[in-house]
Amino acid sequence: MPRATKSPTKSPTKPKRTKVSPVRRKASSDDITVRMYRHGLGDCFLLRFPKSTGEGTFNLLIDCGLISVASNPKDTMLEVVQDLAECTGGHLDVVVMTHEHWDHVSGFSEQQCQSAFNDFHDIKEVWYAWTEDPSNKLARKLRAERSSGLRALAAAQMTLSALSLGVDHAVESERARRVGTLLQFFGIEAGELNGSLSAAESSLGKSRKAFEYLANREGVKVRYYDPGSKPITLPGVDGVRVYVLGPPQAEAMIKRSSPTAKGKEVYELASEAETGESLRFAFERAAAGTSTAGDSDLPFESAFCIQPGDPVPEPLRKLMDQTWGAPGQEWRRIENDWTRAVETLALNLDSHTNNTCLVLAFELIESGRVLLFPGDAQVGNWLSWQDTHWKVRSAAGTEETVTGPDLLSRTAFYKVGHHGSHNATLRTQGLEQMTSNELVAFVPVFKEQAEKNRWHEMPFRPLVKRLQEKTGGRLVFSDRKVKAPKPADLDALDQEDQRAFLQRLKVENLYYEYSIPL
Amino acid sequence: MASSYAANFYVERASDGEPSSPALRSAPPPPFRRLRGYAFDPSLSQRLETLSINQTIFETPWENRLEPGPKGEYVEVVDFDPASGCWYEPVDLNSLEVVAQDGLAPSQGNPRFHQQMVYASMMKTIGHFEHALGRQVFWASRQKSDPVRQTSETFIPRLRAYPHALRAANAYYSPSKAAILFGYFPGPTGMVFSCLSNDIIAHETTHALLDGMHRRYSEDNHEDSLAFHEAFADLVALFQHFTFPEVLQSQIARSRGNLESDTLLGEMARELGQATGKYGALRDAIGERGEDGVWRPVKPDPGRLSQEWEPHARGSVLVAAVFGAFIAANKSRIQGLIRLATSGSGVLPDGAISPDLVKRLASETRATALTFLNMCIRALDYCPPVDMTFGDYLRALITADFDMVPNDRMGYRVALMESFQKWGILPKGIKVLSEEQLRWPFANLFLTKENWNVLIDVAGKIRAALTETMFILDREELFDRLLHVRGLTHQLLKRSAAQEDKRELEAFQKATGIRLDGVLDGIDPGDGGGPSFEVHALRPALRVRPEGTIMKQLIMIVTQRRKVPLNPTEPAAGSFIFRGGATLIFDLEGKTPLLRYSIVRPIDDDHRLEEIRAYKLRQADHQTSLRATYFQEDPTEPGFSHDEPFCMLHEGV
Repeated sequence: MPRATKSPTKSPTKPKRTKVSPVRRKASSDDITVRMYRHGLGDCFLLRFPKSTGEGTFNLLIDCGLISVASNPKDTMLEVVQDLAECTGGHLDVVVMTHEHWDHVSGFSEQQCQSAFNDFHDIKEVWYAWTEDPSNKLARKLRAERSSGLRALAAAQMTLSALSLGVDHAVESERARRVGTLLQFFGIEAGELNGSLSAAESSLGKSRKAFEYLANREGVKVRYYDPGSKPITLPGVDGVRVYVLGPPQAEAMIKRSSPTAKGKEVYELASEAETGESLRFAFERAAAGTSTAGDSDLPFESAFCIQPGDPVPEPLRKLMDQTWGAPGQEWRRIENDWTRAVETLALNLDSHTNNTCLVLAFELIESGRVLLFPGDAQVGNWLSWQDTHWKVRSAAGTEETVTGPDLLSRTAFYKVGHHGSHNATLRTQGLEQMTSNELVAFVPVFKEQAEKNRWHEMPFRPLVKRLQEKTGGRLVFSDRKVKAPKPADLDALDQEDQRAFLQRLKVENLYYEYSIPL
Repeated sequence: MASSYAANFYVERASDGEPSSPALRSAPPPPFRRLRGYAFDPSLSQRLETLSINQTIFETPWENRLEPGPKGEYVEVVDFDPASGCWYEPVDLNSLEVVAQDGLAPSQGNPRFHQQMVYASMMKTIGHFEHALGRQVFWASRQKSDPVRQTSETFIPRLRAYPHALRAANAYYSPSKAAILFGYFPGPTGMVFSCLSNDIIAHETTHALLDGMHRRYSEDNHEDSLAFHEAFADLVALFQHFTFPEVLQSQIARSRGNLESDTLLGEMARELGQATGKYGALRDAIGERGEDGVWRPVKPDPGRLSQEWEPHARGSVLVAAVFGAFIAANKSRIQGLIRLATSGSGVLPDGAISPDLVKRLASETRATALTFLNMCIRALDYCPPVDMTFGDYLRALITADFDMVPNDRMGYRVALMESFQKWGILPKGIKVLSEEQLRWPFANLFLTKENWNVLIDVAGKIRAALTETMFILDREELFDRLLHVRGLTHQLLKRSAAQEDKRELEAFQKATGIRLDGVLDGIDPGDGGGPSFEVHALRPALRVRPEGTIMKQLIMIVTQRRKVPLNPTEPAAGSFIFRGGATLIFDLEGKTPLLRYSIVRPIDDDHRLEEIRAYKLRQADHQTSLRATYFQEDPTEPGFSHDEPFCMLHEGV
């Protein structure tokens, strides 16, 4: 593997420097700080980099959102945004919008804190993934698919909840509930959708609107990044390079959600936009008797279709009486089995959206340390980092190659993906490659809120256990019910490391802040 | 009797009640119903190169009482499309315009052709099973627990097929509805119907047939269990490719007799694979098209099995092993022909090969394929009742074929052993891969001083009742009679085992894998006291060996279930059902029956229990499905996903 930076990372377990490892120093104003808000199931991270002039900081905000199942989301978010304003003086150099899910963007919505953000007098840039670039063809296709999928989910949710009102509809009601929990990622609350799809349009657009708020705000420069982008430098900040690891530019990788399922062997939804539409029409028809597509979504010419009210030919009548309608044979009917497809659609929509995450690695050039913010990236996104590399110029002026695995191996701070769920942290080609003995992991997750949606594996226990081992206990949950690490939790570390970590971790009720020396 | 299914269709049953015409009574009905259909799927009809071979004629047994649907003796096609809220008129395969022109012409736009295609392809697969097994097949019966913890079983005469059940790129066999649900979805070039893919129909029908024989094989107890279901369904579909003469001849001509090349024969479900945006077909048994689009044959890799644990990927190892054996066996079978055609050099000249040679090669290859298909199906009778592994299947294949063809003249068993070895599939505890080692050992029976043994005694007692059943044609009547004899067998086994002395009981437990001495926890009491067990299946089988002798066998499956904690130190973690039992194969000839094999999975096998336990815990730890994160099953909710094991399997999320 071509190796880049000179630096202490060649053998991550043994820093090369002879002087005391700088991470053991006390926090100073020369440090980078990472603030993780403790507002609920959602991401909001503020990174502050010391400016080379020694005055002020370069403020970079990554996401700002909260899942809708949280109680009092607006007030909670207001508290967060007020703190942001205070701490930055209303000045953000960059806002990174990783992806369009509500638990990452709700803070920018009209419903929550948009007006508070309007009062930020200076927001310079907003960064999006290439998948949001209006001039990119594949990006447009993926967005159309997501939008069609979301509409299908909405139609399904409305139809299924209407159907489930009757007795003996446990399956429909459970399916409606499931789809409902995933709709929350678009800011749609339980019971919010009713009536027609066109009436629901504003609900459906909520999340997207919040996501695009900054792009539409005057004076904010919009940038789209992809893994081919050159490492980014932050104006006024020395010694930091930002690498864009994802999202991958191959459609197949964006659509890959599981590490084992090899594309070829999986029956996966192909023309997702069309499949989504065809399901949406079916749900509309199930609710209202007709669909907005008329008969155009039927698989055959309508002359072949015998619809309710049409005369039934004798052979069909006989067949229906002897099979479908035969007494005691009701258990073999299939009225609602097709609605299962909406679960698949919902899961695909969720994972494909998560795979469009803008993944950033902040490299501190001098020490070689890396801060990794993968958003909610899933398998396909993670896997693509393995083959990504960049050419950079070292301090000595020579050209060097930096690779994805290289960055992973030097990761000293890891923002755990997707609230600690299992498919957002890859094992062998992910966590196991993070071999730095300084590794600290922050997990933005509130167990109680996840439980409300019956997401019992969020965070995923085996992952937590492994993170615990890899970080030597330097594992921090935003969850207010989980206590901050105490010396007893850090047994695996030596005394000095324990002390250094605890000194660098600032514990507040509203946030955790960790400082990392350049 | 090997063609019992055919006999069943020829005979005008007395119960029919309808007067048959004098003409029909004097002349036998037609031997076959000829129905046009796709050899593969509609995508190949859209390419000039494959157009001519894709349309084929299915010769299905002539059913006298075939009603519009089609609704026959084994299958009922019910064409309701719930997502579109409509019904499609059923096709009447007896109508003049259908009978007179070998069925409706293949057409994607005519739902009645879809029904005909589903019927024809399902019947073809069923026919292969009946031919191989030498008896009529049954679908998995409907089991219902009634309040007194007695299970009742109801006969399911027909598997139902819903050709347009789903709007999804999926098709699955639903055990809980005794039906196959086919989906359709908009693909890149128009609507894709899974019910028009011969491979998919055969695959799903095979799932249903396997479930009818081994209900417990859909339980996910270790890496091989679901993988076997998938692999077996693929194998049946694959070998059926070789039964279409047009396809076979064209592909042999194209590949100049070399089946180890890129042919349609080794591919599965091409259209669905293409429509879902992937290279080539869904699965390819002998090769793979790489990212660069170049096709390469797969090389046997003994290490792959230990790396693959996703059911399809793992299953493809078994498919490759069996298919590899077939290719090798066929190669040696056609060598002589090639030498004849090349004046002894064995090297074919460049260019096209002679059509006569193509025909001869095709007919040899077809025969090899049919033999392998029969071997694969017949082996099912020699499989353990629960928790089968790939290694067990190899042993079953070898044993079943040994019983049929004791002297392996064609070297098929050697080909199988060689190929399985190359793919690293080795039965546990076998040190040398030799035929004697691989064959299930002959049962070693404990005999009392009076030369007496419970099992032999019971088999002898039910022999007469079983013999009766061999003359029954009506499947429902046969089912009921066998059910009755099963009850009788259960009583006899219980009574005999209870009476006898300790040594006798021990020997009985050893041979059957079940425990009746009450030392194990978690086994429910049966009615009338004592641990419960079931006579899971009873199957009389007549097999005609190639040389003409007839084997009269009885297959008896005895099983027991036991509830065990998932984690013994953590009772809150839940429990699961651990099963044990045996497949007992008796020779019915002679003065008293002889127990030939006893293929045992002991209920008190702690080692196996630990393995399953570890597997289940590992599954919980390594859940890789997104579904598990968001839609975790709540055990108190009405069961949902696990109702449809095959749906989940094919969906892949």
